[in-house]
Amino acid sequence: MAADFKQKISGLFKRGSQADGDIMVADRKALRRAPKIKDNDLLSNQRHGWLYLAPALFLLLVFSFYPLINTFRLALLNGYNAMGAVGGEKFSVGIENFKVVVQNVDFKQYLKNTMLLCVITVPISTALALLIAVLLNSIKALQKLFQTIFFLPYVTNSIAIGMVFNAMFNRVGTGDLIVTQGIINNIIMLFGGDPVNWVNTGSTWGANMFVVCAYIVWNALPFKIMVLLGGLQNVNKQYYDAAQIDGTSKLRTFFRITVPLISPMLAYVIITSFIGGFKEYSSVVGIFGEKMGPPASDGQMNTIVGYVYSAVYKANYGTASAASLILFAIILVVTAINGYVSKKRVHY
Amino acid sequence: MKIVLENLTKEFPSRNKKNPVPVVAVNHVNIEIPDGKLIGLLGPSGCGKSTTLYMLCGLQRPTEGKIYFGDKDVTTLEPQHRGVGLVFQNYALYPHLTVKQNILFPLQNFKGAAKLSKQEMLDRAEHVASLVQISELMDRKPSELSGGQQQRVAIARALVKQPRVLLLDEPLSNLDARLRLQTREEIRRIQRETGVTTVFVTHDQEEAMSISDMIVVMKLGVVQQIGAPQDVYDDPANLFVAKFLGTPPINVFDGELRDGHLYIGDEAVMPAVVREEEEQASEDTLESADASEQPEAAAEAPEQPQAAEQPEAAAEDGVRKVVVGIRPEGFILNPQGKFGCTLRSVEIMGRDCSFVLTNEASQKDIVRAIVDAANRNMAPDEEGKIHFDLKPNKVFIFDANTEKRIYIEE
Ligand SMILES: Nc1ncnc2c1ncn2[C@@H]1O[C@H](COP(=O)(O)OP(=O)(O)OP(=O)(O)O)[C@@H](O)[C@H]1O
Ligand SMILES: [Mg+2]
Repeated sequence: MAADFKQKISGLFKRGSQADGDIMVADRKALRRAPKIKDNDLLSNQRHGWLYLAPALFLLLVFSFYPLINTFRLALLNGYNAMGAVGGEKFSVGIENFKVVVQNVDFKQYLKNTMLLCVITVPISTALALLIAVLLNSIKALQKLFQTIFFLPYVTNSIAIGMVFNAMFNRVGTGDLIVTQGIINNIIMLFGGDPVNWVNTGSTWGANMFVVCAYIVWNALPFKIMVLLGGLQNVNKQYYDAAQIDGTSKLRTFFRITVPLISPMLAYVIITSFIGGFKEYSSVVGIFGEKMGPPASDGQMNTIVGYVYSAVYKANYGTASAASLILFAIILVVTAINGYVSKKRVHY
Repeated sequence: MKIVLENLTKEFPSRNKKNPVPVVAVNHVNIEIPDGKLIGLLGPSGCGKSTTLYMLCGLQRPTEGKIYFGDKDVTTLEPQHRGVGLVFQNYALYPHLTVKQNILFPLQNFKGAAKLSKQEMLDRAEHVASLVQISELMDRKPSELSGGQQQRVAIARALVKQPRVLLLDEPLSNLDARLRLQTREEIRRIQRETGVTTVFVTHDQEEAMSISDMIVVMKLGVVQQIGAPQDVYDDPANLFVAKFLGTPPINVFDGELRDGHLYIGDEAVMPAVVREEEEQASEDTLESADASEQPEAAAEAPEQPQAAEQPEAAAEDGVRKVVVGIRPEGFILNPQGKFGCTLRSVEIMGRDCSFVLTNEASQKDIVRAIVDAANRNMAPDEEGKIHFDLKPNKVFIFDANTEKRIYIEE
């Protein structure tokens, strides 16, 4: 059973590589049996393989590897800018660009915003997704319907969702002439609270943060629910039968059986959402527009990716590259930590 | 603790909307399991063994009938309050926990007064581990164990909470032949040592016969016979039971009862007078069984309903169509014997040898007779036939229609 499950999991994550391995083994065996004939076969097999890979490889070279290498190059050319480069200016090699980025006050603010977004939204959205997935998994009637409903945001444009969020939190009108406080404030007032300035002129950083986090959590749910539900449906029902016969409480069953058994999916969800969180950008654009903040407080909610974009717009490719590399390093470290923790915690 | 199943029935709703006849997985089962015994629940695939077990442990609710543990009616009791240990067909060990954690798991659920200290838990875990001989495997994960070791861990996990009843669902089906033999001895030993009332489900008749104090043979949800393994083997109640028990399987022939003799083909193989009171009694039970028959049961067991009229009609002209079962060990070589079969080949198996024969009246292609290996060179007569006398206690006669046993005078 355990092995079975393990296979399924590893199949889920590295179907490709496993199949490759099988072919390799088969080929090697064949080789041993009839080396001369099979040698040619192997070569032509390889030729075919490369042929099939060629289009993808070409695209990767042009759109991934070249930009990646070039990013390193640009980041290490002191004070690189597009205009200068076109004008034939030569740049010395050094870490000037990184200094500029790190010493930039705005960048520090954006870095803080991004970090906080991650730290707040990843646990909340994962826990919420797990809860919803467990509930979905436990109902029989209408399960498909609810699954569809929860999945709808996934197929909706995230800028559009951002605008809807903005509308929900937006106050229309000023001073004595308030048309609406926004639906969220209406609800708060219904329970006797005071309306909050969420996204309008003069709104606080904290209020902005709350709105963006709510948006990110909402936006992240469908995918996570889907992955976790898949994991839950793969858990052999007999574990629950065994636990029930042994008189295990619902809570204990959840934490000692369900969670460990879907830990590979949980790890996957957490790692990908950390990566997604560090690259957060479109959510802020969706809610606040290109200014990345409420009116008159431009950039209040800006993120690292936002910083990179604005540097690119100003043709400061050197600093843009340096900032992306810093982001890359952060993601690398966080993913490594995640990987290390999940190696200890994930049970397959 | 004594267990009583009373009229136990489980129906599953039919998925077929046009013909919503429910599936009767277990059909009015009555079993009494004495305290501290190991009973084997035996039958072909799909006969309702697992369903019976799941009702015993409470994972499934019976549609009808009652379950008693001792004097207590536990029919509607939740599984966790029944004090049963269940070993699943595929063990269902928690894959992410070590052997030790798996065994400790049930103990950690104890609440209130039953709660154990850490040390007590460890002591109990170590005790059962040594009982099933897995003490040195305590820190492994289930995926690092062999099938037999996993099975012993599963038994340890079921035993550690000191259940009043131990239930095993085909626990040996994943093991290879040798390990199966070994582990079934072990189950027997553990059961003796702990004295826990045990129900052991299997479709392997040899397995059930070898370790059970009592076997229950089931078919299509209906209990066919209950008794000590040897008694059931020596005295099957119907053709199904006779065919189901024994390796090599029983030889089955079409035959007739007439002139006070049993005929197979044209040969009167032995004298046979139907016991009067038996005939009477069997008809009585048939009628009462018929009356109590549920409508849905009819769909499940089609051979039962036509039973009542047929035997008498056939008996009127003094000829009664029967089915004859002869155990392979029921043949005695005798050149003057009344029962002749054509010899195909002889298989030697050390102490015994097995004559592979054919007979016109046999329901199967070959007939198998086991005799002492000293007779392996026995030459057939000029027609290629070998002749036998039959051991009367190894010959069973069944009604051709009802397939129920017909008892004859000694
Ligand atoms: N949940 C269910 N819904 C409908 N029918 C079921 C269900 N569970 C079992 N059955 C049916 O009940 C009958 C008995 O099933 P059961 O699992 O008890 O058989 P079994 O004797 O354990 O067989 P095996 O030796 O193959 O395990 C079968 O015909 C099966 O198809
Ligand atoms: Mg079964």
